[in-house]
Amino acid sequence: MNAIAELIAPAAKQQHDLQVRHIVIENIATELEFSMEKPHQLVPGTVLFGALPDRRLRLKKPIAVELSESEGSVVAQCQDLNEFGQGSTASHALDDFGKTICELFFSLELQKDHLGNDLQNLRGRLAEYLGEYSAAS
Amino acid sequence: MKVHEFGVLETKLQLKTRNSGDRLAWFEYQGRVITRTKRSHGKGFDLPKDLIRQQLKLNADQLASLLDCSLSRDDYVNILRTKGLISA
Repeated sequence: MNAIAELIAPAAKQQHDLQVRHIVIENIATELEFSMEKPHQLVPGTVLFGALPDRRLRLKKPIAVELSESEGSVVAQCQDLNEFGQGSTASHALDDFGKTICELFFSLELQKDHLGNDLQNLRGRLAEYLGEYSAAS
Repeated sequence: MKVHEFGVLETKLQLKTRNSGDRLAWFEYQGRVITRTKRSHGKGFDLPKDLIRQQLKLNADQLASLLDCSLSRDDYVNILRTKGLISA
């Protein structure tokens, strides 16, 4: 087969290469589909949380957060603060946890003169982890 | 715990609520905030019953009684009083 003929009708070997590539792509697609089916599956364990979503707050020390699966979701829980975040993935659960503790910090500060003993204690424990940036800093 | 069950808790305990990223709920007694909990707005999964129960300072039986309406708000106040969370 000359060069002109190959341009019009590719050789049989080239056809075969195309088929192989197609199979490889199918395999990748299959793997992606598998990982998307179980997005929240993880090995339960503890992580040190330090990603505060609120710039008004600074982290004094990392917060030990336990990740576990619960009710078809992932729960990020800090036993010391008796607080949790929940989401469809570990990332979402940790995001929710971060927002929750920031919200909790400001709520407790706002109501500090009207808290029961348990929440006063919680406010103290939370202050060991989080602090507000002063106007000067 | 289903979302509607969380709603039962809000109603039975007369929890004050506010929608933020999550739905925040807290129990006030005589002008003081005694307990607080929350639920996420996420769809497709149930709420972590045990964690909500712990935040409300209830055991499993007490929470079940609240949900089936055999435990009243006054009973809840007594539970909190027994635990020393509300002064006698």
